[in-house]
Amino acid sequence: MARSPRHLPLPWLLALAPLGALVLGTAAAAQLRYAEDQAPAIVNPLFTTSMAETRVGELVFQSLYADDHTLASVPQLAESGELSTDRMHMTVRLRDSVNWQDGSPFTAKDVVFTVHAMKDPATASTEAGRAQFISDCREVGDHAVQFDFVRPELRPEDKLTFKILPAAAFAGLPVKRTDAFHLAPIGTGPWSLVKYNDDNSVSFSANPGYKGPDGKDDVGIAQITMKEVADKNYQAKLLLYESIDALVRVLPRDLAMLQSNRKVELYPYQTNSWWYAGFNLARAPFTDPRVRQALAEMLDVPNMLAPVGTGDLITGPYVPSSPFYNHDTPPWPHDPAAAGALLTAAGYQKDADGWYKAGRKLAITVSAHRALESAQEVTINLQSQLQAQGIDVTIDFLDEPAWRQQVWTDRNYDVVLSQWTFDRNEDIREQFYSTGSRNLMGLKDPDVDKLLDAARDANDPIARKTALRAAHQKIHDDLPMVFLWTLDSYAALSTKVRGVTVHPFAFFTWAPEWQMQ
Amino acid sequence: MTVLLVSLLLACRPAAPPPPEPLDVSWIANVVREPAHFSSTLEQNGGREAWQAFHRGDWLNVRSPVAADAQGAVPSVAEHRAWAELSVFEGVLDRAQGDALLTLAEGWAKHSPDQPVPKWLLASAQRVAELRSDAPTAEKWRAQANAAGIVFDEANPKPFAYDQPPTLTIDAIRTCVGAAVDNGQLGSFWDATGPAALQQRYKANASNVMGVGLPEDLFGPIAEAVMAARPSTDDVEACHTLVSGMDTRLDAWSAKLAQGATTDGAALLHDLQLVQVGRSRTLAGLAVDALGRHHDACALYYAEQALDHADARAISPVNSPTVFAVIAAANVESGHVREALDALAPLRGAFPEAAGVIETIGDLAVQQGLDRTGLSREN
Repeated sequence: MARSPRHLPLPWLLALAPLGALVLGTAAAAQLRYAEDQAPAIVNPLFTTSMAETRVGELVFQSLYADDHTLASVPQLAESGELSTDRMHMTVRLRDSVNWQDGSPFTAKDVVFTVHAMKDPATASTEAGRAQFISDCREVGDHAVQFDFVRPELRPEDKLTFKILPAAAFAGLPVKRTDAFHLAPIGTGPWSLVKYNDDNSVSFSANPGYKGPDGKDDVGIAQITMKEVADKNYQAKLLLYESIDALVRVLPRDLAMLQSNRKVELYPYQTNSWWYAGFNLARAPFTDPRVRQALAEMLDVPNMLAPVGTGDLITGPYVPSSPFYNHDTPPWPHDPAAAGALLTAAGYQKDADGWYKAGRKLAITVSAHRALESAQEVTINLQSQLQAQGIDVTIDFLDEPAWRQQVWTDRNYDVVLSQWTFDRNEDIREQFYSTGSRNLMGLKDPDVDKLLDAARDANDPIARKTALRAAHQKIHDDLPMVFLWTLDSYAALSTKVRGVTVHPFAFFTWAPEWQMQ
Repeated sequence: MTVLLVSLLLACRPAAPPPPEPLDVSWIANVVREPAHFSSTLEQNGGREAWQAFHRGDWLNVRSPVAADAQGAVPSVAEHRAWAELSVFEGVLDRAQGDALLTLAEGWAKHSPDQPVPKWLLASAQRVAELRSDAPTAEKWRAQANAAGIVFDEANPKPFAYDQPPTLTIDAIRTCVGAAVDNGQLGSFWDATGPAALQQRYKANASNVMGVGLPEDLFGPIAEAVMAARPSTDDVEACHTLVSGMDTRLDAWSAKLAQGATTDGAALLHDLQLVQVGRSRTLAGLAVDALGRHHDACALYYAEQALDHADARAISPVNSPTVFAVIAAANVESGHVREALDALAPLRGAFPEAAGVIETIGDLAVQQGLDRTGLSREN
């Protein structure tokens, strides 16, 4: 029978103590557990749509170029790049010592495959827009790729930041969401996905073959576990009780509690996020701008924000600290009387029961993603406000598959409540350009398109800023959505995690340098 | 075994008396122990409103030095304190804007060689470099400005008269609009030297004030020993250790202070958030100091630790304007230009000159993203 350590003589215990501490410390402290509202629906960078998927992608995959700590693009899978004098071509030499997590070598074939997969319409990659500037690319030997561009590029490395996939892991093009790859994704990144667990958590372990930039091949944290904690109200408590070590997104109302705890540190994160209530512009009655404006003016937005937490109200598709935010654009006033006049002008009549047109009561369904934090409070508040003014509101909370299918594929919705998060470039083109891949509302305004084109083509910051501020005003006036607010946005980490610097968008970009105490 | 016994014996030895706690003679301790004295101090020179404005970080609503000069009255301690703080604040803003502007000018020239650097930018870069006594840089931009045919408007010398503060009103400087003749047309632009001019103006008016019955750093830093212990390198982990130690000490001390306080003293301690204010001002001091030594990572760490994150979009007793300015300046220096704009947002309404700083840093943020493809995600 094995003897329990508690029965060892004292000198033995004293002698073993340092070793025991070391062993326990290594085993317990080398794991980082972080919480997400919802586990990633898919781990394949070609189909990333959510921030949770972005963060996991940062753990597992790498790109040709990536942000260093000063947010400058530096080679990651690339070794070097040479731009042609006309800026229409670039030859990127690849690092020749990198292996995929299954041990096979990373080569130019993988880069070419990834670009072609992104550009293949049959793939329907959510990242297709990121490869639009590339007209073609080809292998130049095993470890070099030549890119051809659609127009002259000044700093193409700033755009060659999409994640690279292993060509051999796919049967060919097009890539499908359902390909077996999503069950066992393979990258070249600092951590490998080990297992999808039954409790919806995902386990990662350090990739022993990881090649970091500048020879920094060590990963400070051996294991990472992503835990799905659907009840946002519970996440902060888990952090305080040390059941998790990191929260990627803190509820604003939990900030005071967390910052007063000395075992937790807050980090500004994901600050370019804003909420909106978007109209289906292809569906009556939202085709009528008077109805949209009436709904906007019926809403008391500050009242909707108050229970959610501290934040800033917005009037357009940027957060107020953005250089593109148009501070001269006024918010739609909360003016039920004016809203009533607009509905009357749109052909509605009000009786004791509510607003009617051609015998049908004005009724809308508000759809929201089940994982959207505080969505329940906001939608119920919205429902209560509109119903008090004679409009029936049904609320429909959708899980991820239903959201994808019903809202994005079928466009079968009236109004959606959702949130967009942007990186520091705050590029709204895909959301509001007539043919934009993320133009969920279906806005088609040639004036907005012209402004977005002008912004894209601008070669100086003043011109881009001017165009996008004008776009802010025009989009506000078009009212494809009621722009709601941006919330105070923080991540929280246990003080046991040291050396932390959080990338403002992808979160884990510099996580290989983190350590657990 | 012997080691263990010796350790036990040592542990049983009577402990030496603890050293006196410097915090016991801090302004917080004085306020809590002598609330009446605190009240009378606030009233001196009719300074209550000024103190209230100073405490909540509303420094512009403490009377301006120009108004004080015109009225001929002896400025109150709070006014001097506000002007001193404003001088530091404007210095940090100046640094953030100057760094951004010079980077913007350099970046413009590199990014678009076929597109000339705008004349206002040439002129501003020249002037900022001059103010920083960076002769080679100033000369580079001066040559380009001259070649571009820029003539500064002698009739409107406002932006470049910062070194003659008595002739300027603060409001005039604060508009931050410069003027230059370009191709025969008088044009205006954000003057990047505005914060520097304001810094000079406040500095000239802020002076030490003694004999007011309470230490002069009321609502100021409380842990000067921390400054002496600050790390000598830009090592965030060392900064973390320093702040953790300070917090541990402050937590224990403030609990003890609250226990021994009178009802009035306890009310002041709680209502005026005295410990939080003292802690924040201490960290702000460390942050400004770190920034001055080009320890940008530490400056950012201290300033973010100073911030009340539960109300991070507002200037408040804990969130002083200087804290926001330091976060912005440190972020600009470390390349996180877009994040600098987040920090500056609360200053937009409170400080008119911040608008020019925000535009300049915003232009740099836009320029750095000109060649990028933006990313967006749901939720």
